[in-house]
Amino acid sequence: MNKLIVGIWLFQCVLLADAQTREFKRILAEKDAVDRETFFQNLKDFKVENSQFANVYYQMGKVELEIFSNLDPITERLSSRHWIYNAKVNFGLAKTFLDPKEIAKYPDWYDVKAVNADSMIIMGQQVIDESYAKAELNASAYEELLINYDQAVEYYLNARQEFININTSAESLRELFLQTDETLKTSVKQVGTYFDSCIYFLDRYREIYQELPHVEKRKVNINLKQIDHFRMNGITPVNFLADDINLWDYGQWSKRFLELLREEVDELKEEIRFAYNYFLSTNDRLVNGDECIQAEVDERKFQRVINLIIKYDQESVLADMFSYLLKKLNYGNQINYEKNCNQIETSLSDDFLSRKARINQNLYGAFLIADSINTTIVSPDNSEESFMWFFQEMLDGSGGSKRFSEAQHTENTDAITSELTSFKTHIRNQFFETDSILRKTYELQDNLLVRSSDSLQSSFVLEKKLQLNDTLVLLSGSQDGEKVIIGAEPVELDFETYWKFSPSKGKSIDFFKIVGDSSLVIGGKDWMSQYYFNGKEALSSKLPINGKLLNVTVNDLTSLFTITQLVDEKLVISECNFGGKVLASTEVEIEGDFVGMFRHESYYHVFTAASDSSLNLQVVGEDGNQVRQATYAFSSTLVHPRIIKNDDQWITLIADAPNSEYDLVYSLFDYRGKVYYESTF
Amino acid sequence: MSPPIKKLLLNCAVLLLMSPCLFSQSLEKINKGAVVKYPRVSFDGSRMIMIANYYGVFRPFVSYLDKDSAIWDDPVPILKEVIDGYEVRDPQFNADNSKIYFAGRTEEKPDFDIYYSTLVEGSWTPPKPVPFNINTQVDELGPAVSADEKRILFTRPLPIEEKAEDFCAQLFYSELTETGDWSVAELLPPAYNTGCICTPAYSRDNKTFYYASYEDVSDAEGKRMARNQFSIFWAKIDGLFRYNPKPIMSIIADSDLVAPSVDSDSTLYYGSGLYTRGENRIESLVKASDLGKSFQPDQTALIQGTITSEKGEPLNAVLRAIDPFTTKVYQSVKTDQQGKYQLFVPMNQQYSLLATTEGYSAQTQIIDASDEAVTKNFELFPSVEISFNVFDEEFYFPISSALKLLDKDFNLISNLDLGTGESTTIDLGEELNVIFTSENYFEDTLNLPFHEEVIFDFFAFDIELKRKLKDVTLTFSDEEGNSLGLEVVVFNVTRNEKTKRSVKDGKVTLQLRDGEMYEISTAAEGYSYFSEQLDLSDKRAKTQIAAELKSIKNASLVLNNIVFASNSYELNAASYEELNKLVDYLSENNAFKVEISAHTDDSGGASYNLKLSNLRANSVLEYLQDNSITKERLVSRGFGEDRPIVPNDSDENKARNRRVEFKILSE
Repeated sequence: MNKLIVGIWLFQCVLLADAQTREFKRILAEKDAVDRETFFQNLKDFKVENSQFANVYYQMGKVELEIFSNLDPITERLSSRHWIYNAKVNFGLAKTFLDPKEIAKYPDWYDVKAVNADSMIIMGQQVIDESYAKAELNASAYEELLINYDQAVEYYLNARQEFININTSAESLRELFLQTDETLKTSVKQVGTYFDSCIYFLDRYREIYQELPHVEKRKVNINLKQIDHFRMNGITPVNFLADDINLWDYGQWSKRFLELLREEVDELKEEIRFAYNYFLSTNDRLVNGDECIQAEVDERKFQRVINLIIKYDQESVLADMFSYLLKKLNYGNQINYEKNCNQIETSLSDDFLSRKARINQNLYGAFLIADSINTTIVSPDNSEESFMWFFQEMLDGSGGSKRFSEAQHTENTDAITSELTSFKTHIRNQFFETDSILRKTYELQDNLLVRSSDSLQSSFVLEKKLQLNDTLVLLSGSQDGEKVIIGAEPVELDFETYWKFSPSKGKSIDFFKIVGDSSLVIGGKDWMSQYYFNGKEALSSKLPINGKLLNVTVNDLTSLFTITQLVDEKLVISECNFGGKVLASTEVEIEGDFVGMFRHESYYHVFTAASDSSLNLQVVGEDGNQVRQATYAFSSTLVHPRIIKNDDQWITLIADAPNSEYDLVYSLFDYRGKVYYESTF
Repeated sequence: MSPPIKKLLLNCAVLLLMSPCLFSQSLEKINKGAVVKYPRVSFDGSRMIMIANYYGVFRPFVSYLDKDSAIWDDPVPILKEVIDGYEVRDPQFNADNSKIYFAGRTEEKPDFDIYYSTLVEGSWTPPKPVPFNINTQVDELGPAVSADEKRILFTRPLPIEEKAEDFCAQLFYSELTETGDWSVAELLPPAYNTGCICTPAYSRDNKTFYYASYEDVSDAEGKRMARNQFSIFWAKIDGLFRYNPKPIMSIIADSDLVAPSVDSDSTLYYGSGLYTRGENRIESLVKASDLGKSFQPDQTALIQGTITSEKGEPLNAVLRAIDPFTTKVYQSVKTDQQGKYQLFVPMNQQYSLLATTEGYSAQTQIIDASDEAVTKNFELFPSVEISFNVFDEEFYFPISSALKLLDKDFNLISNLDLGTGESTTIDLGEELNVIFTSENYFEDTLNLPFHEEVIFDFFAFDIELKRKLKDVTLTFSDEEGNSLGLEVVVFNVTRNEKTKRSVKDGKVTLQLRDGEMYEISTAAEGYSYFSEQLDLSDKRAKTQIAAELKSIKNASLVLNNIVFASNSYELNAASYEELNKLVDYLSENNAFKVEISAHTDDSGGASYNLKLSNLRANSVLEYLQDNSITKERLVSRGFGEDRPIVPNDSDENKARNRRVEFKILSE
C-alpha cells in the first residue's frame, strides 16, 4: 500500500516535473513571439511557482542584463542599478539551484552545445559561473562608472565655477593682473587641478564604459576648446552626455595664465624693482658722489617697463615715473661727467667760459627735460591705484609719487644750481671779482712776496685770492693802504718759490682779467700790462687814449688784443698787436651801462643794460658802423649781468637775482633778440 | 531671535503645560463656523486654498499665513471672477503659486474634469482643461500635481460593478515623459487602491504623497484604530520604487480625515469632519499636525530669487533647474510680475540654474542645494559694452586701429569708430566678428559668440597686433671685396630700440618693422665706421645694403660738415650733428683712442695755418671731451697746409683740403 502511495507520489512528482518542464519550455518557446516584458513577466510568474528552478533565474538574469544594457547608464541610473543588481542576484540563484542533470538534459537552456553529458555539464556550470561573475563585475564596474562620471562632472563644474569667479573678480585682464596676489595664483592653479582631475575621471569613465555590456555606447570623445579671451570664453556649460564632449580647456588656460602671471606680473614686478633700485643707487652716486662714473642707461629695458605699465594702466603714475628715471639718469650722467670726469686743464679765459657755457647749456637742457617730466608725475590725471605695491614697497605708501617728485625737483634744481653757481663764480673770477675777505700780510723781498708776520709794517695786505691752476693761487691786495698789487703763492705751502712780484709800477690797478690759457691782463686808466702765470711780463703798454678800461680780449690766432674803453660815454674799441701798437680803433655810442662784449665773425657785439631787466645788443662792424641792434627782455631784474658767447647760435646770460630767495638768473638767448630760456635759481 | 520663532517658543511654553507642542499656527480665522472643505496648503506654506461657505455659497477661498504672528488670516475669495458656472473641488496651488489646479464641472460638461487657471498680471485667467490628456467622461477629481508639475495623481470613480459609495474613488497616476507627452493614466496597484480613496496631494519632493482612504486601520498590536471612516495615508513613488502606503496613526480621530496637504515645514493640514456620515457631509474643519519623521517628505530646498534687467526691472523670464550631471531639466518655472521665481528641488544636490528670456542674455549659475532656502538673483541684459585696447605685440604701445563689425559669415555690418579705451554697445543674440586693421600690421580677428550664454555685460579686450616685417639684406666687405664678419648695431629710431646682430660671412638678413625708421651701423675692428639710415615708411626704401668698409689702419677718415668760421677756430653749431655721430661711435666703442687732425688749404701763411689747424683740432677735441669722451682717449693735431688730399688748384679742391679727420690709434 505504502509502495503504491509512494509510487503514486512519484508519479505525481514526475507528472508535476513534466508539467513544470513543459511550462518552462513553452515560455522559452514563446520568447521570440512575445515582447520582452511579457517574456519576463512569464518568467517571473513561473518563478513564483518554481522557486528552485535554476534556469528561470538564468533566463531572468539574461533579460535583466539585456534591459540594463539598453538603458542609459547615466540618465537612467536608478533603473540601471535595479536591473544589474537583479541580474546579479538571479545569476547567483541560478548558481545556487543549478542541477547538472538539467544541463545535460537541456543544454540549450544554458546556451551550451549538445556534446557529451560531462562536457555539457562543465560548460553549463561555466556559463552560469561566468554569467554570475560577469554580472557581479558589471554591477561593480557600473558603480565605478557612475563614480568616475560624477567626479569628472563635479571637477569640471568646480573648475568652471572657480574660473568664473576669477573672471568676475575684475572687469578686464589687465585689471586682474594689476590686483594679482597669491590668492589669485592659488585659484588659477586650483582651476587647473580641478580640470586635470576631470580629465582623469573622464578617461576612467570612458575605459569603464567600454567594459560594460551596453548596446549603444557614447563615443566619449573629448574636444578641448581653447580659452582665448578674458570673460568671453570658458563660460558656456558643457553637455557631458554628447558623443563629443566639448570641454573648455581650463587646464591649458591655467598653465598659460600662470605663465602669463609669471611673465607679466612677477617678472614685471621684478623688472620694476630692479630698475628702480638701480636708479636709486646709481642716481645717488651720480648726483652726490665724487667719482667719475657713467650709468649705463638701458633705454630698452626702461622703455619695456614703461610700455608694460602703460599697457596695464595708461593713467598709472608709475609710467611717468619710469619715463622720468630715464631722463634723470641721462641728466645725472651729464652732471656727474661735468663734475667728476671732465677735467678741463685751462684757465678762466673767454674760450673756457664759452666752453662752460655750452656745457651748461646742455646740462640745463637735460635738467629741463628731466624736470618737466618730473612735474607730470604730480598731474591730477595720474593714479597710484594700480601698482600699489610699488608705492607701498618703495615709496612709503600713497602719495609717494608726489613726495618722490618733490624730492627729485629739489635734487635736480640743486644740481643745476650748483653747476651754474660754479659757472657764475668762474665768470667773476675771470675779473677777480672774488668775495674773499682776507687779511694776510706778505713782505716784499727781492721782488718776491714772502709770508711775513702780522706785525710787519708797510707790508702787502692780501685782500683777495684766486686759484689760477694746480700750483698757484693768485693774490690781490694793497700795500701801504693805497696800491693794489698782484702777487701769487703756491698752493702747497712748502712750495719754495713764490711768484715773482709783478708790480703795478706804482699805479693803482682797476682792471683785471684772465685773457688766455696762461696770462692775465691788469690795467688802469691809461695803461695795461699782460703777465703770464709764471710772473713773466708779456707786455706793458700805454693805452691809446685815457679812459676806463672795460674789457680786453685776446685772439690767440691773430695775436691781437681787443681793448674796450669807456671814454665820454662812448666805447672806444682798439685792436692792438702784442707789441702794444694800436692797429685800428672804433668808436661806438652806447646808451646804458656797459655789460659785456664779444667779437663774432667780423662784428663787435656790445651789450648794455637797457633797464633793470633788459639788455641791448649793438652789432657794430670794424668800421664802426652799427649793422643792427636788438633788445632782450627778461622777466627777472638783473643784478651784475654777464654775457657769454656759447657759439654762433646761443648766448648765455648769468646774473645775480635781487630776490634773496634766489641766487642767480640764468638765460639763453639768440643773436636776434629772442630769449628762449630764463630761469632763476 | 526672529519674531515667529519667539512666538512659537512662547506658544509651546504655554501649551507644554496642557498638551504636547504639536504646531503653533492658529487656524481660528479659517475655522470660524463655516464648512471648510478640501483645504490645501501651498508647497511653500504661505497660503491655503479651500472651498468654504463663509457667505452661504461654497466657493474657493484663500487664506494667507502671517508669518510673524503664525496666524492664518481671514480667508478671502479667490478665482471669483473666472469660475462662474463651475462647481469647484480640490483646488491646489502650484509650486510658485502662479497657477491653481482644480476639479470642476459645468452644465455643459457635467462630469468633473481637471482645470487650471493662471495668474497673469495680477488676475486669474479663465479655467482651461489641463493638457495632461486625462480628462474623460467620468469624474476626474482630486488633482494632485507635483511641485515640479511633471506628475499628477487624481481619482476616478470605481467601476459600477464595485457598487461603491459615491465618495469613493480610485487613484490614478500620470507623468511627463522624456518625449514631452503625458503618460497614459495608470491605475495604481491595489496596494494603493484599497477600495475607497480620495483627495490625494503631493508633497514638495515630487515623490511623497498623502491621501485619504476609507478603510479600517489597526495598530501594530492589531487594535483597530479606525473603522468605516477616512484616514490619512502616507505613500511614495520614486521612479521604479514604490513604497506601500502607511496610515498616519497619530491623528486618527472619530471623524473622517480627508484632503491632506503638507507645507514646507512638514506640517500636515487636513480636513476633519463627518465627511462620510453627516448630512451633506458638512461640519468640516481644517486641522494641522506636525508630521512624524517617517512621514515627512524628502528634504527639499526652496530655490528662489528674482530675474531682472540691469536696471532692476522685473523680467518675464524662464528659470530652469538643470541637473548638471545629466543635463536633464529638473524643473522649469516662470517669473511672476515682480520677476520672482521659486521652485523646490531635492536637497544636497547641485543644480545648474539657467535664466532665459527673449532678447536678453542667458545666464547659468550653479548652486549647491545644501540649505533649505537658497536665493539666487539674476540680472539679464540685452546688450553688452565692449572696448578694445589694441597694442603692438612686440612693444606693447597702444596703436590706433580700424575696426569692422561683421556677422558670423564675415559680412560687414558696420565700421566701429572706437578709440583706445572707448566702448560701444552691442546687442546680444548673434555671433559676431571684429576685424582689426592697422597700417603696417597684420589683421586680427576677434570672434564674439554673443549667440551663446553671456554672463558679463562689459568686456575689455586686449588685442595685440603683429607688425609686418620687411627683409633687409646687409652685406659687408672690405676694400678688396672680402666678406667681413662683424657685429651690426640695429637702432630702431622710431622705437628708440637698439639691438645687435652678428654678421657671419659678410651677409645678414634683418627682419625690420615695416614703416619704421632704422639706423644700421657697425664699427668693425680695424675698419671704418659705417652708418646708414633706413626709412621703411618709404615704400622705395632699399632692402639691399652693400657696405664697403675701409681699413682704418693708417687711414684717416674725413668728418664731413665740420664747419668753422673763416679765420676762426670756433665750431659752428651746424657741426654738432656730425660731431654727435662721432660721440656715439666713440661711446659705442669705448676702447678706441682716436686722433683728431685738422687741415687747411694753402691760403695764408704756413705758420698761421698750422696754428689755425691746431686750434681747430683742439676745438673738436674739446667738443668730444665735453660730451662724455674722456680726454685720455683723444689726441688733437694740426697739420696746417702740409697734408693736402688734392692739389690746392681750385676752390673746390681747397674746400676738400680744409677738413677735420679722425683716425683710430688703438684699442
